[in-house]
Parts: sequence; structure tokens; C-alpha cells
Amino acid sequence: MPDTIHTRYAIVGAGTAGIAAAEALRETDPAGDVVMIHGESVPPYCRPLIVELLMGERAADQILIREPEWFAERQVTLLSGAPVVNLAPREKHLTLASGRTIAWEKLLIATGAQPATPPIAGLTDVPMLTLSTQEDVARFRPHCRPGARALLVGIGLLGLQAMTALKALGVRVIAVEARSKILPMILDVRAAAIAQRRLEENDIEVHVGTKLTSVGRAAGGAAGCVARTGGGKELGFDFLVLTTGMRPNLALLDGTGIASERGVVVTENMETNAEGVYAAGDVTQFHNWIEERAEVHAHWVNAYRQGRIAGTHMAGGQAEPYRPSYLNSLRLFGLPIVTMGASRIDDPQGAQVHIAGSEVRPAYTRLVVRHGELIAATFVNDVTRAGVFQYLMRQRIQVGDAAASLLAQDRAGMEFLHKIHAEAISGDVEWPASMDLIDRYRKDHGHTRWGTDKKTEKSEA
Amino acid sequence: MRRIYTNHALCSGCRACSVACAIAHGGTAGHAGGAIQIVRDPRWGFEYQAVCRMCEDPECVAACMAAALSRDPETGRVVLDRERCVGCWMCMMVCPHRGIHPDGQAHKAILCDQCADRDVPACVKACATHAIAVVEEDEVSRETVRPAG
Ligand SMILES: Cc1cc2nc3c(=O)[nH]c(=O)nc-3n(C[C@H](O)[C@H](O)[C@H](O)COP(=O)(O)OP(=O)(O)OC[C@H]3O[C@@H](n4cnc5c(N)ncnc54)[C@H](O)[C@@H]3O)c2cc1C
Ligand code: SF4
Ligand code: SF4
Repeated sequence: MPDTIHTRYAIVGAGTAGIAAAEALRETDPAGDVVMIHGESVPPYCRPLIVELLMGERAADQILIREPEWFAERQVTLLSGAPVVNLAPREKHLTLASGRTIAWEKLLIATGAQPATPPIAGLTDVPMLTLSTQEDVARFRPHCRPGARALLVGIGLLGLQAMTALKALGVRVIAVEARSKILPMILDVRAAAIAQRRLEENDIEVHVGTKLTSVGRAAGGAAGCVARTGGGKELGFDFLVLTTGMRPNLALLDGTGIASERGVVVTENMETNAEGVYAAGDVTQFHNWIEERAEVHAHWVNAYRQGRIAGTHMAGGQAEPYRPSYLNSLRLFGLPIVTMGASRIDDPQGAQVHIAGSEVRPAYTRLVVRHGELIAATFVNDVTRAGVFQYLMRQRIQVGDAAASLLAQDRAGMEFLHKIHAEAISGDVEWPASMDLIDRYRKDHGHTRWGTDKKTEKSEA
Repeated sequence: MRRIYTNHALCSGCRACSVACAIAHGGTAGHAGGAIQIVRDPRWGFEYQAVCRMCEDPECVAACMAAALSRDPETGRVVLDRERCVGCWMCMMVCPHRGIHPDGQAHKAILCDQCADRDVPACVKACATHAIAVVEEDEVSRETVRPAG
């Protein structure tokens, strides 16, 4: 029965952005009513973990984004299975598919993104799957027979996750990428070559520089389907998996006057151009300071951080302005890779590239420095120190000449990091003064340095 | 609230802390299983202890896509639920302090729990050069440091 709920805060979307917002606003405003709206009928879950669900590694109740008590403790009213069909920012209310209306004072749009559909003829004639919701996982199940052939379109992050799951289920994977390297949005050519080798070693059939033009059923009543490529190749398959990327869910914004381009346009406080309306997560676009352009960076960390900032501001609190970091963590059949910044650019203009590799195992690290600032970093295999670089990049700390030392992890590099740490978390790393009594064990690095200095002096003399 | 301090100038790089931590947490006697790790430059002999700083606004919690990490405002402790961890290394990607480490065997992260159930943390006890100290918050102001061992 149509009725109206009045609430101080309405959050559309129960993904990580919506959850982080609720968490943050509760820290500032313990009392104001919060209504959180989740379009899907299953309880809110960690979206990336649907891959685990598909592989059968985890059950649906093991990927919940928060336990039910979380909502109760914070007095957040969760409406699941309640798609919003209309937003009216001027009137400050919204309408659910059930006809119910919700009158709000502050609104957060955190509706995330959905899979993009590439322009390929005949898509509706073949079994076609995407991977972004629990419902999608259910649709995968009947197709994932051992030996079945999956044609995966787009070898990006999503494609990689999908192929990992398919492979684990015994499905044969044929993967095509339109660009000339795999993971083209995040890897440089050398890292992409290591990555491609890794996939091929794991029996993934990889075709780069391959654009599909059409797909259809196999001719003459033969089983399966056939895809044709721009280069005239034919690839046989049983079902198609589209992983060419995600597009922000902007449909609700039509006619509302809320500004959007590729995503919702937001300030660094996550405000939209409409009074009292905020947006956070995959649905937004943000200015990329490295490449000087507006960009949708659909990523968990960004979504969470943006959500927190939005929530704090909605409740009238103060938060640090949003600083994006373009981060990715991936795993290629056991090989971990972390990238950040403009890591996909092979020959960055006006920048220095520092590379360290290994001949004996697939390890590769690449740093790119422009005007003394780190603008890209790639870590293949040795990912444990990536966080430090993430921090240097996001805070735009001048690394300048230290870059080579940082890469080599030599003493100068370590001392640089140690200094940065001490500044960043001063107080935290402060050694308790009373402990300074114990300096009889203090190590003397000096002798090593002194010895070398002497040698240098001699050789110079 | 408990704090664990480290002093790199006192660290000899022997990894006794990592081993003690690994043993105390039911692992094997290898340094790789410790929540405290030694980062070192073998050429110059410069090393420091990498352990969680229990950040007030932890980046790792923001990054954890399995909701395995959370911060308990009461104890100030950042807690890892190993059951939930999927080993995506997103936390390592963001932690500015190298505070969280990979457990390659179990394919899950390892995070310091400050030995909440022990009087003195295992690493503090193990360190021969007293390069690790534990301080209780109510003691921080008075600066009385619990002696190791
Ligand atoms: C298979 C897969 C793997 C991924 N792996 C990674 C990874 O390894 N690392 C990483 O960083 N990121 C990964 N991502 C991306 C990550 O999941 C997203 O960046 C993150 O979930 C974004 O959070 P969000 O809150 O913005 O949106 P979402 O989590 O997408 O949440 C959107 C919410 O909005 C609701 N909603 C949408 N429209 C409506 C409507 N009309 N009415 C009501 N509710 C609505 C939905 O029901 C949902 O609750 C992956 C994504 C997928 C699909
Ligand atoms: S793991 Fe790192 S980011 Fe997380 S609380 Fe510890 S030091 Fe901070
Ligand atoms: S490795 Fe584990 S703790 Fe770290 S972000 Fe991933 S799921 Fe969370």
C-alpha cells in the first residue's frame, strides 16, 4: 500500500559506498533516521566476492557486507528488494517500485555500476552472461559444465576474475581483447607480457588485438556458437561472457537536473549540484590529476572512501577532501599484481621511468616519476610494499631523486621512507622517551658507511 | 589502549620477533608467519620492523573488500577476521606502514593482534635488543614502559 516514510537521511545503494556513508554519518549524528535502499532482493553483499560464490568457495551468507546486527546497532533501516524508480531532488522525495515514497532531507546516490555491452552483432542470439550480481551468478551455473567453451570478451580486471572462476569450474576459456595488450587499462606492455604468459601457462587461450564483429549459432545445426573477428578469424564457443567494463547506473538521474557526464559530477566533498544530494562510489566521476581528465574509477577503495566523506558531510561533520588513488590489486592464477596511477601508459611524456626486474622469476617493478611526484607504480609478484607507494602518490609527496633508491630498496630509499613515516604518523612512531635509556644495544651503522667513504676517498685520490 | 612501539635503530634484523609471533599464534617456527616482519636492505644492513600501527583512520579497513578488517573504537585495535579474508591483498596495497603481511600458505592476511590475551606481547619478549616496547595508553602519559622479558 503506497505510503510515505519521512527520514533525515536516505541512502540509495547498500554497496560499500552506502555502507561507509552510514557508518560515517552515525559517528557524527547518532540519532537522525537513516533509510538505506538496496535494489536487489538478497541481503547486501561484498560485490567482488560473487566470484567466490561462483567458484563455490563461499556461500551467499558468507559474503554479507555486514551482519544483520550491524544495521540494528546503528539503527539503519534497510529496505531490500526495493528498487528506486524515481528521484525528485527538488521535492526531496523518491519513489520505490512498490509505489512507496520516501521523503528525505539529505540523499546519497550510491547506485554503483552495471556491465557495459559492446557493439557486437547477434548478441541476443547466443547465451550471453555478465558478472556483477548474485543473480548473474545463478545464471552462470547451468552453463559451467566441465569442458564447455566460454568466450570471454574483454581482458580487464573483471575478465580476469571471471576467467579465474570459470577455469576453476573446468570450463575452457577463450579470451579476446580488442586492444593490443591484456589488462590494457592498468598494465604497461612489459607487465602485460608477463601477465599474458601467466594466463597461457594456465591454459587460457588469449587473443589480443582481436575485436569481435558478430556472434551467432553455428551453421548447419552443429552444436555451439561461432564468433567472427574484425580480422576474419572464427572462434567457436558455447557461451559468451561480456567483461568489457562497467558503466555507472545513471538511469535514475534522467530529468532530475543532477549533473552527470560519464558518471555523476561531484565535488571533493561528494556533493552533487543539487542541494542536499550527494553521490559516492562507482556511480561518480572524478577529476584525475595525473591525466587531467574526468574519469570513472570503479573501485572498492574509492567507493568506500567517498562514502565516508559523503556520510560525514551529510551529517554536518568535517572530512578531509577526497583524494583519489587509482589502485588495482589483481591475481593471475597465483601471481599477485598491484598497480596504481597511470600505470597503463607505456611512454609517459615528461616523466622518468624506473624499472627493476628479475631474471629468475616473474617479478617486475616499475615506478614513474613526473615533476618529482610519483604518477604510476606497478608491482608484479613483490606487492607487499605497494602501500607505501600508494601513500606517496596520493599525498603527492616529492620523491624526486629517491625514486631509484626506493626501487632498489637500498639504504637511502629506506631512510627516505622512514622519514616519511615518522612525519606522517608522528606520535605514533615516537619511541617512548623512557626507552631511550636502553641505548647500549644501539647499532652503529656508521662503521659500514665510514668504511665505504674511506674507499671512495682513496679511489678518488 | 595498548600500543606497540618499534625502534629501528635498535633492531639487529635477527627476526626473533617474527618467529616468536608465528609460534605464539599457533603457526610454525618460521619468520614468514609473523605479524611483525623485518624489512631490510642486506647490503647496508639497514632494517626496520614492519608492524601494524593501529591507525585511527585505517586505510586497510577502507580497502578490505571482504569486510574482514574493522576497527574496534573501544580498544583502538584494528582487527582481522581470518575467516572472512579472501587473500586479495587489497590491504597491502594501501597500508602506508607495511603493517599487514601475506600468509602465503593459507592465502590470507596476517595482522598484529597486539597479543591482547597476553601480558607481554610475544615479539616484545623475544627481542634481545629491546627494540620493541609495549605501552598501555593510561601509561603513555606517565611514560612507564613495561620492561620486556
Ligand atoms: C565480479 C566483480 C569483481 C570485482 N573485483 C574487485 C576487486 O577485486 N577490487 C576492487 O577494488 N573492486 C572490484 N570490483 C568493483 C567493486 O565491486 C565496486 O567498485 C564496488 O562494489 C563499488 O561499490 P558501490 O557501493 O559504489 O556500488 P555497488 O557495490 O555496485 O552497490 C550498488 C548498490 O546500489 C543498489 N542500486 C542500484 N540501482 C538501484 C536502484 N535503482 N534502486 C535501489 N537500489 C539500487 C544496488 O542494489 C546496490 O545495493 C569488482 C566488481 C565485480 C562485479
Ligand atoms: S594494517 Fe596498516 S593501515 Fe591498517 S591499521 Fe595497521 S598500519 Fe594502519
Ligand atoms: S587480503 Fe584479506 S584482510 Fe586484506 S583486504 Fe583482502 S580480504 Fe581483507
